[in-house]
This record gives sequence, structure tokens and C-alpha cells, in this order.
Amino acid sequence: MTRRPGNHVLRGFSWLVYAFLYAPILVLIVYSFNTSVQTARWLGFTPRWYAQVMRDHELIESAWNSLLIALVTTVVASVVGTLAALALARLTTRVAGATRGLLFLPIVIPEIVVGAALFTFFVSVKWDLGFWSIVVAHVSFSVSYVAIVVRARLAGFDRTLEEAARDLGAGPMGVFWRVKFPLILPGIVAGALLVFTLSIDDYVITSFVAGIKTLPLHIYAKLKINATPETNAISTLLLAVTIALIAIAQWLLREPRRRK
Amino acid sequence: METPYSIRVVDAAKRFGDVAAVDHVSLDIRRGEFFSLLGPSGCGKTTLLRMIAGLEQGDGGNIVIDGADVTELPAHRRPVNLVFQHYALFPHLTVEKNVAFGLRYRNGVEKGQWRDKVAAALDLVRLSGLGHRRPDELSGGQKQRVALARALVLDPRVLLLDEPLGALDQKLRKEMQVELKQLQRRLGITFVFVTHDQEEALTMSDRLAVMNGGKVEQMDAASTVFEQPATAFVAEFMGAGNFFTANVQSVDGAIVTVASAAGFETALLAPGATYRAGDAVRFVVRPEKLEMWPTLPGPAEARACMEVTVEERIYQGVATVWNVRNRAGERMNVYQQNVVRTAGEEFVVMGKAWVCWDPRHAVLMRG
Amino acid sequence: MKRRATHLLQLLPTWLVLGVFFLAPIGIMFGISFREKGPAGTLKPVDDVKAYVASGKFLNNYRESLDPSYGGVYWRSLWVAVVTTVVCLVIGYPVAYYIAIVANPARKNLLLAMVAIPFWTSFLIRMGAWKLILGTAGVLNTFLAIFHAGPLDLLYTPGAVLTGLVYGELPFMILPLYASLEKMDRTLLEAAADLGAGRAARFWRVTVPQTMPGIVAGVVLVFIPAAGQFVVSDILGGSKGALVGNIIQEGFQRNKPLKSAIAFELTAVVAALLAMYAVYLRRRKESPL
Repeated sequence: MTRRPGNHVLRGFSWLVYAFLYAPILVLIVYSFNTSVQTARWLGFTPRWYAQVMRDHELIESAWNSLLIALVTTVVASVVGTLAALALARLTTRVAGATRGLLFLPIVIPEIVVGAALFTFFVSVKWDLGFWSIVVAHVSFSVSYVAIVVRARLAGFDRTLEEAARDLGAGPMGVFWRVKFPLILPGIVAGALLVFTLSIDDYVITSFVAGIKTLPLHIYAKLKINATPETNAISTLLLAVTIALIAIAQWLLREPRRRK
Repeated sequence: METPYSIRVVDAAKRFGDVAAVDHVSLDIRRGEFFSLLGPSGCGKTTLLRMIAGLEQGDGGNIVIDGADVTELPAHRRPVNLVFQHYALFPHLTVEKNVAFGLRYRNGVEKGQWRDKVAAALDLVRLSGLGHRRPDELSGGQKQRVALARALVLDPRVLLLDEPLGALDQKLRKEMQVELKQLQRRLGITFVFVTHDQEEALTMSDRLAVMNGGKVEQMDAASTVFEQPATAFVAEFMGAGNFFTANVQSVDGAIVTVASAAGFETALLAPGATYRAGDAVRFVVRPEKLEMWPTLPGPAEARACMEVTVEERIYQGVATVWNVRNRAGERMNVYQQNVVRTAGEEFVVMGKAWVCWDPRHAVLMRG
Repeated sequence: MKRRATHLLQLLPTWLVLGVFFLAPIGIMFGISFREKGPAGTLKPVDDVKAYVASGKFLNNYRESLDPSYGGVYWRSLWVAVVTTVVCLVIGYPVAYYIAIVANPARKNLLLAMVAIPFWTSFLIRMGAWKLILGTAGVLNTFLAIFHAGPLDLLYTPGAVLTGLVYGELPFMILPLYASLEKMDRTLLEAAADLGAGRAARFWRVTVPQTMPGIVAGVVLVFIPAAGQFVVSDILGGSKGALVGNIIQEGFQRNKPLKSAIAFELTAVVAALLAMYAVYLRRRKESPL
């Protein structure tokens, strides 16, 4: 059903929206090379903000913290979330229903509420805010995302494949590791990537429970005063790293070449 | 102890909710035979097959394979293999790896032998050279062969097949039927085949069991089930739904003389059955055993006959099917092969005709 | 059955993690919302619980949160959330439609990825970019200055907050809409055309009802974060643009009881919306669709 003029309008509008989505990012990249500090007038190309970033010890420390936190969070949340997804795919008892509801909560309750609650929790149990308070907070909201992504992957899973594996002689471990796991792995990786990104980027909840500086906290502080071009440089670097990660993930998860 | 039976199903039962999918079924499958479970969807044939495979835990009864009771054994320890209806090929593995999947669970087969065994299995199903392909690159027929190879490479004592030809087109299906039959004969192992297509079952099976509502209605050699359906359900299912009602007039040994509701008398062979005068009975005659006559033939023909009104003529190319109705209002199908070009032109819809048959082709129904 | 036990065991870590680090904190904060604040961020101890409850004192924080001075903020938050959702829907639907139905099928994955990629980059960074664009000495004004126009005072306005929010939430509207549109049975449109329905009729009477699940999902996914927004209003809204989220965050440590109460009121609104969503989902399951 191709009615030409309407389609052109749609296409044009869509590309406008895409431009809207990417323009700020482009602006960021461009201006990270701008010599000007105060105004947005283009005063010349300079890479010196990047050099400044590299020398900023506080920044590097924050980035390192964020990375560590994100890694630990990803590993823990992926395991817990995948286990939950696997169990929920099979169970229909009330426990399953309650678990689904429980997993739903961290996603829908506003971050501000979650962050505040975690803060009151740590204060109440006299837990000093530091590295682990952040990790724990991040894990608590990440598990749900992994569970959802893996669950979606499991939904399309062909049960007869498991039966075939059993019929051919595989015990429960064999069935899981040789058939189920390879097929849900893309889902687990997708969930892990999602969680990693959410953790590295988290500001609101982290701001309540942090005892050490993370990258978002560092950036936020700088943003509130006034965006120096240094923040643009940081942003562009982060962008490059993120895109590189996505590209690597896509490459790892690529479908093998098919012949039609 | 060498038993002649490959599989014995003893009083197997399985319920799903309040429905009895398999309702106290007992049957014996002989070594080396091609046995089919035949019936409409929902009759329990697939459930029964899965119970033999170990993929369904029964609610009662025993499964005995080669003399050993495997009822408590989980699927992965049973010496049988299943070819799934939709093949269940592992999408993340190549054809070779699919076929080799179960080899590591067979004691006595070393890793070094795998390649050769896989190659031999692929050869058997005529798929050599496609080992490196992935399932999504194969046609339906090819996938089916891979599923077969994957099961056969494990040298099972019994091969179970769950409607494996259902997704294939007509022509391919018929070719595969012949191939499967030849394969079975060559390998000499027992095949248990599930299908809802009676023609398919007849083509391939030595013996078959017709199932309905979780029970076995008849289990016999294929030709016997076809020619002598035991119950009304089997008669209908095998296309022999020409039911005559009658009353027993006299019994002389195995010969039962009845008077049909349509007004004629005929004698039927019923060895072993006990009938008495006055009993109400039903019998069937297969459509191809009925003949259309323009006028009542003489007694020299030794036929039982009845007058009918022709209701419909259905031309099928190879044959013409006549829908007729006798004086008792009973409707019958007569299958007339188009042997003579002009045959059938003498009969007119809404006109009269005579339908006759050799009395030996009439089959008395049980129940 | 051994199987059941294994599965239940697999759920244990989830219950541990979420029970201790999610439910417990929320419970504790709920309890705090009924307390009185003490000096320097502590809580005033309650000696006689019965009397405290009977006197109605435990509801003080909630009463205070409904003080008219806050009213403006609540209304503004609601209004911002609603407008953001509507704008996202209006902008997002055509884009989702384009990707799902009009665009070259070979390009679908790429187009979807392009919608999703901004989501993977830092939210803070993207808001920082808008600050750069909308500022008095920002990109937009610099651009306008070339034509001797402006400068426009765009930053620290409701418009800035809206722009930032729409920008951040748009992918969350487009993706569920796309999913719904993709699954839609196109032959229904053909049947409608055959029965005489014109283009507009086909859209409103077939496409929209068929994609309602996606619309509802998108609305829920956009409204809730918008209602609890904190970052955008802080960076782009300034002190005048404070929303509920900012009120909660500001001085939380000093007055935990009051801020907790406000936080729970926000949660209540969100919960109400989710309850409606749950009812909607349940009803759809029962319909023959």
C-alpha cells in the first residue's frame, strides 16, 4: 500500500525527528573542539580540552570508579536476573506472580523515590556510604531489566528443542548448557549491556547513596556551574566509548552468514 | 530373555486436567515391524508416543522396551529416539553438529568415530555434503532427513516418528513415505509411526492401531483394519462408512442370516461372534466393494442386492463416487473405478439403480 | 517435585536482593514519613506510639506537604508530565509508523538502532548539550546573532524543561509504538479499504485501535519518569522550574520525614496510574483480540 505523497511527508518528518535526536550530540562533539570558553561562537579548533581531561585526576578516578561499579553490578545483576527469568518461564504459582510484581517495581517507581529510600535505608542500618553502597543500589534496580530482556528471549524459545536434547540422551545439565544457554545468550548479553549502561550513567540514585565520586556525579557538578568545554570533551569521549561498545556487542552477536 | 516384542505398553494412562488423553491402553509392538498409531487429532496417539519416549510421565501403567521396564526411566536414558513433528533441529548448530549431538552420551563410541558415524547417517538419508549448513538454510524435506539422521546415528532399538511428514507437500510426502518404508526394511529396526492420515498408515505399516478418545479401537494388520473394521468409528475413519442396519433371522455356526432394514436378506460370515435370532446388528460394506447395476442381476451372479435412488454423482477422475439412498433411508457411497469410458452414464441423478456386492465383503460391527 | 524446588531456589537471589535492598528501604522510608524531624537531620524519637498515632500527629508531614505553597509545584509537575507525554505521542507515532510500515524493510533494524542509540549515551551529557544549545551565549543564540536576531531567553524556562524531557523520553515512546505497529495485521486495513473506508477512516478506526497496547505502553513509559523528573528540571529549569523531584531532593537529609511523605505521594500517583494500566491489560486479555 504505497500512496506516494503521504509517504514522503512521513519520511521527511521522520528524518526531522532523527535530526532533532542527533543534533545535540553533534553539537557536543563539534564544540568539544572549540577554543572558546564562554560563548558558543566558533573561535578555532583545538584539542586542548581533551588534553585537560587526560590530566584531570579527579575525573579519571571518577571514571574508574564508575567502570568498576558497572562491572560488578552487571555480573551480579545478570546472574540473578537470568536465574529469575528462567524460573519464571516455568512456574505458574502465586510465588511466580508475586515475583513478577516485585520485579516490575524498580522499573516503574521513580528514581527519586528509590534513591531517597535507599538513602534512608543505609542511614538506618548505619551502613557507611562508599563503593559497596553504590553497587548494592545499582544491582537492586538492575535485576529487573535483565529479567525482562531474558524473559523476552525465553518467550520465543522452542520447547521441543529441549525435548529433542533429552531424547538424544542429554541430562538436565546437558540440556541447559548445550541447548538452552547458547540460545538465550544473546538475550543475557543484551540485558548485561543495558545494565552496564544504566549503571555507568546513573545519577539520581547514585547521588543519594554515593560515598565516592562516580563519573556522572563529577559531570553533574561541572554541568551545574557552567558547562566548560572540558565537559564537552568528556561527553564526546564517553560517546565514543559507548558506540565502540555497542559496535563490539553487535559484532559479537552477529548472525552467521546465511545463504538464501 | 529375547522377547518377540520390541515395546509393550501395559495399561498406560495419562490425564490432562479431567481429560483422559490416554485411557488404559495396552498394546504390543513386534520387533522389526513398522507399526502405526492412527487416529484423529486429540485421540491420544501423540501422547502415547511421547510416553514411550519418556517425554510424558504417565499417570499409570508400564512401558516395557525389549523386556526391560522403563517406566521410571527419564527420557535421556531410554534406548529409543524420536523424530519430532517440526524436526526440533538446534538452530545454533550445523547439520553435522546436530546429528552428532547425542553421540557423546553413548558409551562405547569414541570421539574419533563421530565423524564417520555422522557421515554414514547423512549418507543413509541422502544428505551427504550438507553437513556444514545450518537448519535455517534447509528445505522442509532436508530438515526432516536431518532429524532422521540425528536419531538413527544413535542406533536406537526403536525409532518413534511423530507425524514427521505432516509439513511436506503432497508429492514430497508420497516420496518420503516410500523412502521411510525402504529405510525401515533395510535397517530392520522397529518403527512406531504416528499419523492421522489413514492412507499414509496403510502405505507404510505392517500393523496399526486405530485410536479414539484415548482408547485403542482396533489393532490389527493394516489390511485387516482396512477390510474388516471392527467398530463403527474405525469403519468411518477408514472410509467404510456404509452402515446397514439389520435383524438376525437365524444363526448356523459362523453364518448369520439377517434381514436388512432395506428389505433384503443376506448371509454374513461372523466367526467367533455369538448372535441370536432377533438381535439388532449393523454391518458395513466398503465403497469399492459395491457395484452399480442398472437392473437387478440374475441369481447366477451370487450377489446381495438392494434398490437405491441415486442422489449425487461425484466425478473424481480415477473414479466416480455415487451417493445413493436405499429404501430404509440409509445413505451409502459407491466407488466406481472408471475402467470403461462410458461406465456411469447409464445412471441418472434422482433415478433408480441397483447396488450389489459379494456377501463375503460385508463386515459385522461390534458395538 | 524436584523440578519445582529448583525453580523456587532460582528465585531466591532475586527475593533476597530486592527484598533487602528495595522493599526494606521503601518500607523504612514509609515509616519515616510518619515521624517528626529532629535537629540536624535526625528523627525525633517517639516515646508513646499509641498516643502519637491517636493524636493524629503522624500525619503531620502529609498535611504539610499539601500546603498551598507546594501546590504550584505539583500542578507544574503534572502539567509538564502530561504535555511531555502528549508531545512524545504526537511526534513519536509518525516516526514509528514510518519505520514499521513505510520504510524499506531492509533498513528497519538500522532505523530502530538509530532511535535507540541516543538512549545508550549519557542522559546527563545530552541535557548538558541542550544547555549548550539553549543558553544565552549558546549555539542557538549565536546562530540567531548572525541574523541580528535574538538573543532569546530560552534556558531556565518551562519550554527548556519540556524540550529536554521530550528529547530524553522520545525513544521510550517510539519503541513500544513500533512494536505494536509491526505486529499489526495489515490485511485488516485491506479489508477496511474493500469495505469503503478512506485513508483517515482506516487510520482512526483500524490502525489506532489495533495499536492501542503500544500507545498505552508508551504513555506509561513516558509519563512516569516525566512525573518524577529531577535531572532535567535541575539542569535546564533552574530554581523557577522546580518539579516534585527537585522538591524531594532538596534538603532531603535535613527533613527526611517531610520529603519522604512527598515522595510517597508521588509514588501513590504513579501507583494509581499503574493500577489503571494493569486493569487495562487484564481486560485486553479477556477480549477476543
